[in-house]
Amino acid sequence: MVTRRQTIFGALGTAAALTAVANLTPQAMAADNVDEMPRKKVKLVPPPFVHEHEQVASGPPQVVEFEMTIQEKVWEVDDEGTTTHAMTYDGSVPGPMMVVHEGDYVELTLINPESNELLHNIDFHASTGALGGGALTEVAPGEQCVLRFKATRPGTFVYHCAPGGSMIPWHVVSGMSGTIMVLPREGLKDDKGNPLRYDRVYNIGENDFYIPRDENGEYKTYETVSESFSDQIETMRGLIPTHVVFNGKKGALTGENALTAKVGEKVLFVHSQANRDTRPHLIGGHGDYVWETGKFNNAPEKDLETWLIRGGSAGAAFYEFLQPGVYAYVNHNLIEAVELGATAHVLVEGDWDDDLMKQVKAPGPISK
Amino acid sequence: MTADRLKTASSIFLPMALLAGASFWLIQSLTTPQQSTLPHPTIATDTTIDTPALVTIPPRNFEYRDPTRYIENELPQISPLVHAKVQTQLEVTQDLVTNKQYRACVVEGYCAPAITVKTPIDDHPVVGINYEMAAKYAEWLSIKTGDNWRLPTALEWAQFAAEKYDDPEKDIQSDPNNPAVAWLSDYRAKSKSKGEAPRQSLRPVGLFGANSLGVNDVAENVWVWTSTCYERINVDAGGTKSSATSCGARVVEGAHRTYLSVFISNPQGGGCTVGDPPSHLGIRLVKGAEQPSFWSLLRNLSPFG
Repeated sequence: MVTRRQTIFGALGTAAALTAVANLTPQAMAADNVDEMPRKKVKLVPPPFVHEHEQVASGPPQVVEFEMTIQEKVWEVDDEGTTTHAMTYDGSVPGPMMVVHEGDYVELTLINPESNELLHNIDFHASTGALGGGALTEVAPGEQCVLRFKATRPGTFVYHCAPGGSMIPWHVVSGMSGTIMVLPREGLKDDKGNPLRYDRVYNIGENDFYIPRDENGEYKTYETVSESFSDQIETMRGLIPTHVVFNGKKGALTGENALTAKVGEKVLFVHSQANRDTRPHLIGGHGDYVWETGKFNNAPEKDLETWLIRGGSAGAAFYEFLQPGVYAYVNHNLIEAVELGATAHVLVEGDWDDDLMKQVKAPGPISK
Repeated sequence: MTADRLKTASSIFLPMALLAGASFWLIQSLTTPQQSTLPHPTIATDTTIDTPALVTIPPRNFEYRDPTRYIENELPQISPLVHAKVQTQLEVTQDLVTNKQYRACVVEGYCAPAITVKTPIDDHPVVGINYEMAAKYAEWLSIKTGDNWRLPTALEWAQFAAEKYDDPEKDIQSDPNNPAVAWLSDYRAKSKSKGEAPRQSLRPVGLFGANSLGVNDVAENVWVWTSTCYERINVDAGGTKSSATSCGARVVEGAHRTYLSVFISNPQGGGCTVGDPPSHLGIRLVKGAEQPSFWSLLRNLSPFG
């Protein structure tokens, strides 16, 4: 018998086997002069915030060091006490956003503490080779590894766990995804090549959860993450999520946790969904410049009402707030927004612009 | 290219063979032995139960790929091939555990039902079995019969699989400057075995026929759980060893070897969406304690080559 506290791996499938037979050399892994390049250590911050960074690179390419500790934890997904066993990069859903510049090297230390049950890894959509790094980063509980890759394509990219077989979707819908933003060295530009500078950037990760129910329709709970596996796979195969939320929980970005901005501020909303299509919409506002696919070598689209984020990608929408008020930032499948949880609020302070909108006559009795 | 490859292979292999010899004591000190059968208050010995037909496997010498993974100086290595000299005989069931046999355990409330979508047919092998279910069934049968039934170790599987045991890494190439060479060759090796693999649909036990030792349906479309835990041994530049052992993942044996988490009953694919998953997961049991212990058997292994 296997005891509950026993360490349990993810699927040690082919990728791990392949890793085991690869005979790598440091020379094969290193590119030109990486060892001599300047290095910078960045402390990651949990979403919806993003670590401090330059929008325009002030120096030559560098090696940017990040560290993430994987945490498996009981996670509340709504305001009714429904819980699941989340798998997280650094304790948050989504994982923290990393920001580097094109040409930089990302050097990630990935730690899987002994207290976890499962094997994990990381697949960076921004990287090239080895299944996005997944084949080189499988870490069992009690292990860590270091992966370096060159950020060659500017844009917003998803990263996620992909440890093989059914483990892949299971880990992803349990919260194991995030975004890396690779900025052009000269910063973002509009469609005419003029610089675009944001005052704030928000990291919004959208997650679909599939929580099994019992025969009475109540959400089930499980003592350990591995015990939930069979039921959860069954629910996932139905393809109908029980929760669609921003930043891991219904209400994670509303009320006291609502996003804030000021009239005149330019905000970059980076929105990722590692598993499923979504369609962000800012109620009462727009996307001034939107990289729907998130890739900055393409000119941004302008004046969008709603944009599509393809499952397995991250997009970026740049918007200058022109009116104060409470904005709702939603997945405009409104059933998912309202019933399943995919709503955020943005509280915007500032002066009202009558020119843009005015209450000519307040609602009252019909007069004719 | 060929010469380079040979050179590469020998430069990896020789140190690894030595390493393997040196690390057996390490394996022994790291791995938790299988728990012995525990009495269950509600299940009584039942002398009327069908005892599975057994095949006695004589002592054998054979080549065997150590399932432990080795990383030396940050570089993953091909696990050593060892020449196993197993000096004891082994009693193994002639057939895989059938749906009918497994159902008897489920009916008594001791075993969880297999996870399958199709209606199980009595004389087909039970599939949709995770490690915990397989171990539980062995436990139940031991209580019912008073004998010690258990899952085979990976080494024992190779012992009774005979010519059906296929060295999982024999076709793997490697290039010190290109990890993809190993990934591609592994993929091709497994795709090839898939092309030659029997159809996925289940058939009554025994219908695939016996191997040279008389054991039926070995390495056909049902893979079986072993009791062997996943291990990884790292050796740094200074020769210091460290290791990770997880009995949360076990070796699964069939047309090729794989490792699976103990809670998986229906694998859907290999690592990172590539690779060749086991078709079905089932149970084959061996009888009797590991006699002499698995570890004294291992001491009989010597580096090969």
